[in-house]
This record gives sequence, structure tokens and C-alpha cells, in this order.
Amino acid sequence: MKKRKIGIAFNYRSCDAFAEYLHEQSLRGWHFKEFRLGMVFEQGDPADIDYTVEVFPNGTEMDTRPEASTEEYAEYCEAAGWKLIDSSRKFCVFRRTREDAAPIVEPAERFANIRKAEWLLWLSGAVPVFLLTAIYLAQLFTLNFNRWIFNNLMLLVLLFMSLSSLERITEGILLLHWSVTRGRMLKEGTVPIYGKRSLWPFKTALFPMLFLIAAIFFSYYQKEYSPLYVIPILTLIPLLIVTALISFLRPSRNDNWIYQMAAGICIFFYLTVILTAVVLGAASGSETASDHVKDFPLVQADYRQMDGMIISGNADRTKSVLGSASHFYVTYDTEASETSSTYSEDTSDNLQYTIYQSRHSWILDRLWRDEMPKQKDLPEDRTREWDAVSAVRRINGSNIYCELIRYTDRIWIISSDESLEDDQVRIIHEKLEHVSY
Amino acid sequence: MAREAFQTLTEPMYYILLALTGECCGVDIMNKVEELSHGRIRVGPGTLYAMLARFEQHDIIRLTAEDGRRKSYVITDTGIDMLTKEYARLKTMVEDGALYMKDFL
Repeated sequence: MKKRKIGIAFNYRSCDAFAEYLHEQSLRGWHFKEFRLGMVFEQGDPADIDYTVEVFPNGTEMDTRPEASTEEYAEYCEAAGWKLIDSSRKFCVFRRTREDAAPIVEPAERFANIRKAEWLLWLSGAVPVFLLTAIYLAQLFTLNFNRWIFNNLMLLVLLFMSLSSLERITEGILLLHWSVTRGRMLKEGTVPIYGKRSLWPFKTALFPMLFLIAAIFFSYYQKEYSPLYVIPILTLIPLLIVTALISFLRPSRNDNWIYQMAAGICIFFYLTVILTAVVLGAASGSETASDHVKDFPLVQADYRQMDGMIISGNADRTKSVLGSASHFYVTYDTEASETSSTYSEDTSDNLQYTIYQSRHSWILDRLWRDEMPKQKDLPEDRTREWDAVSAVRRINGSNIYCELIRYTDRIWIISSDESLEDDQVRIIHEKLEHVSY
Repeated sequence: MAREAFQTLTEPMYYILLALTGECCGVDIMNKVEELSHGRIRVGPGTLYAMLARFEQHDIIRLTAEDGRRKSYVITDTGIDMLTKEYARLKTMVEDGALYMKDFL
């Protein structure tokens, strides 16, 4: 017998539209058979079959086939003239077998079942999204501001999480409106019709698609080919495979829980492996210290006489649409030579500096506030020396001199083992002022 | 708890409890209710299923037999108490109304 699968989906609020759709298909000779990777229809003679689609209150979102409770419910329905064809999640599809079959539930009860199922579904989707968005936004504006604000991937993730939260809020408002209007209709004695086909499967796919497009755009536009962009997509692929497998195999509610938990653990390990590979790949591709420092805008030898040689140099640059952050760390061993490279703490000279660049003054204001010392003693004012909007110097406990310099579009933070003299300040200023990332 | 949840019984509730004054299989209750109400009340299978679960949960009825998916129930003492009170309430209402309604009937 010829079969076909149809991938459209309905939400609980459109269960009458669902029943009407099945009726239309039967009139064309396609009779609903089961839920398996979508809706399966079998070809037969066209027939005027009446369907009703009910929301089973004891069903759960983990049900992929009729459970014992659903079958018990179906027994009652069959005695009343409604034969259960199949069920999935809380949906139960019945076919009328007796002309005089009474409605399965009273209108008020039907409304209560649909409303409860819709709100539970909304909550189960919205609460994790709200929580994650709140946690990420809180981290952006507290602990991780200086890192995430200059990271396109994090900004993209936050943008999509915020958009997703907004979408859930809109959905919640629409659901509230639906609940109120249908409830009012019932009080006025009108039986609501649960129509309109849902577009939610397309909506679900919309966000990952947009994320992929945005990631491609960022990679191309910012010339930033980070493999991290692919991770959300790589997560989506096993999720889709697991969803498809569960939809095909139709395990029982308990087995479905086990499968989903096992899949969750596997995906976690799979992502850990990918992330490790990405991190190790990035580490193995990094240059050696001496090669690296050639590209540094500033090393100690640029502004004072240095003996010995550079034994370590690290740079970490991040760039986003909102600006950039570049961190440099250079260590000289003042007694090291080409032939001997014995290193000790006493003979090392360290320079550490950060360059923040942004056209957005609120970002620089925020970074300036975070970086400014919160000591009781006021730091020394160095605005004139640096010819800056604002500049201060502080000395921390281990005799490290730290200069914080603010210009209209950048902030420099320079930490060195020795105090910077005025002529050194001028040299550093000249070296760094044309640096642009 | 049961009394709060079922302060006054709806018509389907009243007839379901009446049907269960004798042991009865769940699926047969629909027909029995129709008989008891002389065809006036038809309880939907979904409504009945949900109501039986609630009655059982509140100890108004109890399960007497289970043969596969077919379950039989009977009313409990709590249920009889509720039904009696509801009967008395309805009777009082009819008696109170009788004096005033006789000219209209």
C-alpha cells in the first residue's frame, strides 16, 4: 500500500485545524496512519472520515506512542464511538466510528486541557532560555565585560539568546491573549474552534539558520575564521539526528528519557572532544616567543636600554564589531645570552600592556571604571605626561608600576617592573598611538 | 479536601456517582448515566476518564477490579455521604421552589 510522510506540525491550540486537515486528506484518499518522522498517510479510497484531535491531560511531551494510560483513555473513547488511530506527545488522533458518538470532552474541559498543555510547553521552553540569557547577560555586564564585548562569537550568542527570549515573551503574550479570549468565549456560551495551522517547526529552524548566516557574515566581513563559530552548528547536527531517531523508533516514555539522557551525555563528550581539538589546534599553530614579539607594537628595548634577550612573549588579541582588546606580555632575561639561557626571577624584566580600542565611549567608560584602582590612596595623576583625556599611575604591592591611560577612542594599560620616565612616556606614546587593530 | 473540591456536584458528577452505587466497569458508566438520566445526560469518554481519576484520587470511589485495561469501580462511604448531601440539597431546592413554582408549571 502506497504511503507518504508529511512533515507539517500543529500546536495544541490548532487541534481542530489538525482534525480538519486529516479530514481533507481522507477526502483525497490519504488516510492518517501514524506519527513516525512526521505524519504517515496511507493511500486508499477517498472517504468522508470524521476525525477529532484531543489533548490528553495525562500525556507528556516525552510520549512518542500510546502509553498504558493513553490506551486506557482510548478504551473509553472507543466505547463512545471514537477509535484511537495514534498518539504522540499529548496529541490523540481519533476517528469517528459511530454517528451518534458524543464529544470526547466538554468544551470547558477541552479548553482547560489545551490551555494547560500550551502553557506547560511554553514554560518548558521559555524558562531555560530566560535563565541562560539572564546568566549570560549578567556575566557580560559583570565578570566578563572586557572579554566578551570584544568577541564577535559571544556577542552573536548573546544577540541570539536575547532575540530568542524576546520571541518567547512575544509567544507568551500571544498565548495569554489566546487564553483570555477563548476563556471569555466559553463564558459567553460560544464553543471555541481551535484553528489556524501552526508554523512553529519553521520558527524552530529559523534561529539556527539565522545564526549560521550571521556566523558566515562575521567570518567573511571580519576575516575571523574561528572554528568556534561552527560549534553551535555541530551541536545542532547530533540533536537533529537524535530527534529523528527517536521520532522513527518511537520508544516508550521511560525509554525516551533514557535515550535522551544518553544522547545528552554523548553530545557533551562529543562537544568536549571538538572543543579540545579546537583549543589544541590553536595552541599548536601558535608561534614561538621570539618570532611572536616581532609583531608586538612595544617591547622594553623600544624605550630603554636592555641587556639580555626576550625569553617569553605572549599576545592575545580579540576583535569584535564593537572594538578590540590586545594583551601583550614580554619577559626579558637580562643576563641571558645567545649561548646561555639560565633564567631566574631576579634577572627577569617584565612588561605587560593592554590596548583597548573602541569607537563607543560607553564601552571605554565602563572599562575605565573597571580598571581604575579602588585603593584608598589616590593614584598619581599623569594626564599631562601622556597628553591624554585622563591618565593615572599606581604602584601595586609587588612594586609593579601600572599606568592607565585614557584617550577618546582607546585605553592603554601598561605594567612594568620599572617606573616610566617622561622621555620614555613620549617614546611609548609615539609607538602605540598609530597601533590599530 | 474532597469536600472542598466537590462542594456541589455537577450533573455529570451526580449521575456518575449514582451509576457507581453499584459496582460498574468504567466504560459501561457512560451507558448507565444515559439510562439513569433517561437520555438527558451524555458523559463524554474523556470527561468520564478524567472524573473517575479525580474521584479515585479523592477517595470518593474505589477500584474494585482490573482486567487488562478494563477497570471497575464502586462508590465509597465518602462518596455516598457526598451524594446523600447533594440529593438532600437538590430535594430542598425543589421543595422550596414548589410553593412558588406551582402557578407556572
